[in-house]
Amino acid sequence: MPAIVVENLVKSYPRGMGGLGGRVTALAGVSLTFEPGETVGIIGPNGAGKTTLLGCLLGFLRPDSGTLSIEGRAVDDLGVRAATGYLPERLVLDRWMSGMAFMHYHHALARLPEGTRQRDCQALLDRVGLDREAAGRRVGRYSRGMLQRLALAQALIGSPRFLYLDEPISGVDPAGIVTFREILSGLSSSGATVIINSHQLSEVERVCHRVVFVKQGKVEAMETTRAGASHARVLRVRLSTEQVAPPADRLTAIAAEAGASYRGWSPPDARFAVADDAGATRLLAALLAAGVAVTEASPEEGRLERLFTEAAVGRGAGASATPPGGAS
Amino acid sequence: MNATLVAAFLRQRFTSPIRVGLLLLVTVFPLGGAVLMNTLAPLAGIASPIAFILAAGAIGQDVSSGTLQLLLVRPVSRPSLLVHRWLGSALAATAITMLMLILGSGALVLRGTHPDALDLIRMVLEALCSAAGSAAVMVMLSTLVGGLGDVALFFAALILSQMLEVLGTFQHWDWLVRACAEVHGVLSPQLSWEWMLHGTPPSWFALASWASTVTLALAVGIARLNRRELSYAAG
Repeated sequence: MPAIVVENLVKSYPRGMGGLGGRVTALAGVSLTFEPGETVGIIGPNGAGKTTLLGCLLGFLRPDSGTLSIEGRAVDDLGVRAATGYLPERLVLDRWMSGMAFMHYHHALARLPEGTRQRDCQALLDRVGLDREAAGRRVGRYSRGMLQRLALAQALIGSPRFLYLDEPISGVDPAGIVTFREILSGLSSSGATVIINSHQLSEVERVCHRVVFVKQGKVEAMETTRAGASHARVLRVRLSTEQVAPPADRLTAIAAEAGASYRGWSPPDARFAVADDAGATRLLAALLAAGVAVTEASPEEGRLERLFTEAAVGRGAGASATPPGGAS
Repeated sequence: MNATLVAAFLRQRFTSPIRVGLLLLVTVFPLGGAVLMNTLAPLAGIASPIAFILAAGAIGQDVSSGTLQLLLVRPVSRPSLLVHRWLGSALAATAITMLMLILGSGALVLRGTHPDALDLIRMVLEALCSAAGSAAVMVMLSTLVGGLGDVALFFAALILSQMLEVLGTFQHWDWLVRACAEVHGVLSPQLSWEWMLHGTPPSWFALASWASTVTLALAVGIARLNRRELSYAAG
């Protein structure tokens, strides 16, 4: 049974003063399902309807039509809320509280036992990397990164089964991003459904099982990020600086032999177009066999960047895209 | 009762320097007046402004800042949130008024005047009713507009009704004068407990009128908050 079911969701906002300018459609019939243990990224250009979708799922917004259910219950059911965690994009936390007091407050609101309050809150603050000194400091004196960590710790109170993260790593340092990945990995294995709204495509690609691309209020494409890659891309191959780089005609010949094409030299990388993962493997094998000192190889752009670019300009979603609303 | 909601709300109120300053203003001067005049009369009307100061922006400020979203993700219903904010404002305003009455009574006793116990009880009961009434109206208004727009709404309604009352008096339009008096009553619901001192039966009409105003204010507030959309995408 899916954890969250969204069916034909429509939401519009009044345009202009008192709605005199008509209505602008934010969601135009979105249908999605989210499975337990699944981490799903929602991406799309600004104004696509991502935040509205999250607002409807959290019960902040009332849809014009369509249905939303979480484990068969309404989104504003108090039982559902007790199992929900939310990290907002706008980190307007209660600035007058200390970090620990803020955690205690939300722990109490979540109706969790008072006896474990201090221990639970301390464990979560430790988990997101906020030390005791920071926990005792007023939230108003936190840096952006610390606020983000505190908000994440707050979202994790009570081990939620449904976690909504809006731009979760915005302003977080690299160590914080690693912590974030570890936490998400743990949540996924515990069966929690995590929905991430983010513009950090590389991170979404890294942590999500599935990505939903939203454009103009509709699901334009869905992609399973951990499935086998079958799309063409440009590969950047870094060559050792200790050897003289092979001439362009030789690289062109090696690439052609491997079924790829040489796209030019962008110091210190050579750029090759490959058809798919197998093509990338063949190219690298051919380069190594020809004695070219390869030190590193990476795609020039992530799959999501490609999906984003293609879908944003209306060229379709690529080979692995699923028809809108047609899959879970 | 959810003590966490009430405690957090009051802690937030008392960490605001402006609110604390205003509270000092509406309590210290009447207390000084009571001591100078050797009577508790100046303290009779302070519960209503205290409740006003505490309840102003009770919902609207959190809606505007976005903190309400984080709160409503928790298992807290919107009506419960509103009722707890009303309760917190009303109880804190009554407690502060009682503290002022105790301090004033102490000062009077030191000066050789002994306040009447029955009169003190009457003042506490009137303070409770005024605080509950003003807090209900302000919490209701704060569900209608963001930030501290409820304060602007309150004073706009008050000034407009006073201007219309003056017009009604000059033009001898009794209906307008009565309507404006009703508006004043709604903006600051109060209940007199004077009957206690005179041994007369209470005014059931006044009691029903006060109770219906408070109930209506809370009902309108709950209905409005239930319909309110909270995402910043809603504009």
